[in-house]
Formats: sequence, structure tokens, C-alpha cells
Amino acid sequence: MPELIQQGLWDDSPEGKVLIGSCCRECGAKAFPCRSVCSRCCSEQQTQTPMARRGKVLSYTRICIDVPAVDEAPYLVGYVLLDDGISVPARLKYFDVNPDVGSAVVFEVGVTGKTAAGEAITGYYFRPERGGEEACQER
Amino acid sequence: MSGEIAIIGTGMTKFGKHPDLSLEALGFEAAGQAMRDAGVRPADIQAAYCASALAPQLLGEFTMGQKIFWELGINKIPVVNVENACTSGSTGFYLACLAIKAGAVDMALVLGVEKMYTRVKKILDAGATDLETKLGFIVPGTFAMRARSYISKYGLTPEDLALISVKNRRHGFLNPNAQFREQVTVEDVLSSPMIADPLTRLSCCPQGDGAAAVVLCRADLARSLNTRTVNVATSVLMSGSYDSPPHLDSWPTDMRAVEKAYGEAGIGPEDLHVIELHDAFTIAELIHYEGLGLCPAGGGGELLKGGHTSLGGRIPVNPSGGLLSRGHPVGATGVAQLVEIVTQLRGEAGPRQVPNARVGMAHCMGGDLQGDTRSVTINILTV
Ligand SMILES: [Zn+2]
Repeated sequence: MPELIQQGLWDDSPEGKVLIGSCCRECGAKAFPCRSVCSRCCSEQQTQTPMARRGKVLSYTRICIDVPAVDEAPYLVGYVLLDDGISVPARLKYFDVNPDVGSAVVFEVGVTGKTAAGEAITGYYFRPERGGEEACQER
Repeated sequence: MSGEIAIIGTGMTKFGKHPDLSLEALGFEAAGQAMRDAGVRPADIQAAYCASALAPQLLGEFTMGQKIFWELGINKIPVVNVENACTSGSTGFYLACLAIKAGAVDMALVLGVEKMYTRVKKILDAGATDLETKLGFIVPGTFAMRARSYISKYGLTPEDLALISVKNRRHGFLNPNAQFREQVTVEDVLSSPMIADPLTRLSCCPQGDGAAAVVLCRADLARSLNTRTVNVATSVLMSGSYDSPPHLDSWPTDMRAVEKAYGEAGIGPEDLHVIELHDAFTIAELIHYEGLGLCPAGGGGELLKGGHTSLGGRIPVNPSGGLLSRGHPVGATGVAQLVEIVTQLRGEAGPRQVPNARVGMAHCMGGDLQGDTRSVTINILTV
């Protein structure tokens, strides 16, 4: 079993894997990763809720130096604005050309890093909404 | 706070690579200089603050303040070691101001010190357990994403961004304490190795070794000491909001901190004569122009390209060379910015002097988290 980047970040849904965020029962504020106390109203009444699988690239960068915890170089990281209005940090994979700010992307779970011993770490990433799907399945 | 506190002495080492100087030696040199400049004795210092962001990580050191201050003959007083990312040094200064304002002490010493060229090679990140770090985010990457957002929103180019490095290198060329004293061109900046697109190596501040220190005291005592006194109009420290806003083109805490600072000092951005701000990466300086109210949203490019923030311009920014040129030994930076503003207000900045500078600001920012900065400090000084 590959190691997980962090417990509790995503779950299964009828559409496939989705990020899990928290939603405040008092004021409706959403957060990712889940919080136990609302940062807006301080309520402890938090439910866990599946986040949108689709979103748009808010911004991104290509990291061009070797980073020991990452399995590839160069690689893309970005912030994705999910369709439900929350921005999340993410890896971006399977982009043949650099995305544009605003490009449509879809959530996936997969290898995003390696341990100090070189073993794969399972994390999450977003791929292009069109074009990336086949490439992704081939792998 | 206006008129209650004064800075009476400054000291700093040259920033850069100091393979032969330990962290203690760097701190000893800067703190000793500041005390000699103030003309005070060890027994006059009633509280002392030592800021270092990375010593525990890189050197395995802790409670450096006690070790360094003891060497200077300062003992049997409250000593506080401060870590607050890039604002570590300016947070130490904030705490010293609070202690004096509260009447707990009459005089304090603040030292910022860092040694980054060590055998431990580490890429700066947001902290080992942060989700961003685990996903492969590194500090230059976070700023690169802000750069892409900002330049695409406001129609700027990588060439425009590079002008920040060109300007600050031109300023650093005039500062004998700067780490980089070679000037660069836009072409040099753009053709240096890519770190995190669109930020190249020359768009990022260097690592460094160095220390800076100030002595501050009750303003009424400062007058009797008859030194080249600079007044502290306000000292503000503020944390962020972390609600992941759907944009990346400002740090909301800049605005909140500066509003408080202008209110307390009873001035506005138009009253400033000189500014040191946190240009860890080229894009940061542009975003801070707006955050500090120097221009409207999206106006940073015009302010820069018009030469208004260069030496000789309307409101010179980073006359020391900033982090990009003076260097960024993390824990020392916040104090080094204060040292530069004091030097400017004393009229002792030599070829990089801003003529008739009487009101100056030192702005520092620490880290990026969930769409906001973790920490902002604003210090406004006057003569
Ligand atoms: Zn709430």
C-alpha cells in the first residue's frame, strides 16, 4: 500500500473520488481541508461535505528546480477554484501545454510524491477537463 | 505610541556569505555596534530580544539571545527569543516597543540574526506538515502563482516584473552592506535560470548570513542622551485571515495593518518620504505598493515604470537594495529594514540618501497561508 499524503482529504462518490471539505451548519462557510471550528463564526457545528470535482485554474506555476519530496521535475502546482467557490492548493498533471488561468480542470487521486526512501506517496491532482482523460487512463 | 519611543542606536553586519563567522559572532558584531552607536552600557539595557527564524532548523541552536547578549555583558534581564518567519526581527522590535510603552522597561535591545549558508541544504517551504508543502509547493512557487495572477489581471509582462530587480540592484550597488552590489539588466533577470515560472533566479532574493540590531528607549530619555534620535510613530504587528479568497492579487493583511499604522501615526501614504518593504520576490514589491496605499489596485506597474519608486523618484522604495539586493538572512531582515530607515532619517545614507527624508516606513511580511500572509509588521519612524 502506497503511503497517503494526508488522511481524510478525499472520499468515494458516485462520480468517482472527491475532495472532502467542511461546511458550517451555523453560517454555511466552507473550508478545505476540513476544520473542526468555523473560522468565520467559531461554531463547532461542522459537517463534512463532498466538494465539486470540477473547477478552474486560479493560478499555477511550473517548479523548475529539484524538490526532494516530488517524483518528477519540472512539475506544475496551482490553486484551483472549485465550482463551489473554494480555492484549493493542488498539483496539476497531464498538461501537454501550460494551462491558461481559467482553464477547466477535473479532480483525480494518484501518485504525487515520494518518501525519503523513494516509495510512492498517493496524493491528489487536477488534470485538464478535455484531452487529459485518455492520457490519464493510459497511464 | 507617537513620541513615546525613540531609536538611539543601530548596527549591522554586511549581508552575504560569512563562512568564518558563527551565528553568535554575527549577532555580537551587530548588537555591539548598536550599543556603541547609542552610547549606552550593558547595564542600561533592561530587556533584550533576539530574532532568528531558522537557527533551530539549520543549526540546531536555541536561546541564541542569552548566548549572544551574555557575551556583551547583558544579563539578569528579560531575554526573549523570537520566531515569526520573515517578520521575526520586526516582531522583536514590536515587543520591545510594547515593553517600553507599558512602562516595564526604559531601554531595550533588538537583534535579528541568521546564518543560512550551512551544511544543511534546505529548500524553503511553508513548514513540513503543511498540505501545500506535501503537494510540492515551495516558497518561490507560491509567489510565482501570485505573479501569474497579477500580471495576467493587469496586463503586465515578465519584463515589467524584472524592473523591480533592476531597480533594487541599482540601489544595492550604492549600499556597502548589501549582499549583491552588481547591477543587472532586464535581459539578465529574464535569462537567469527559471525557478518557478515566471520567476527566475534573479527575481528571487538570495539566502544570506547577517545580523542587524537597534537600541530603543523612552523618548524623553533619548533627548537627554543627545544622540541622533529617530522617533517611533507606530509599530504594528498583525496576523492574517486565512479564508482562501478566490483571488491571489493582494495580501489582505497588508491593508488591515497599514490602516491601523496610518491611523496611529496620524499620516497617510502621501506623507511618506522613504519605504523599505518586503521584496522577497519581484512580484511582492508590486503587490505591496497597493497594499500600502501608494497606488490604486493595478497601479503598481505604472508607479514602477514611471521611476516614482526609484531613488530620485517621488517615493523611493527599498533604497538599501531591499531583500533582492541587500539580501535576506531571514531573522535579520526586519531589523535591517529599520536600520536603513533610521540611517535615511538621520541623513547618513551617503550616495543612496533620500533628500530631506523625515518620515519613513519599514514593512515586512512573513509567509503565505490560505490566500493571506501569516504576519505583517509596519513601523513608521519620524524625525
Ligand atoms: Zn460558521
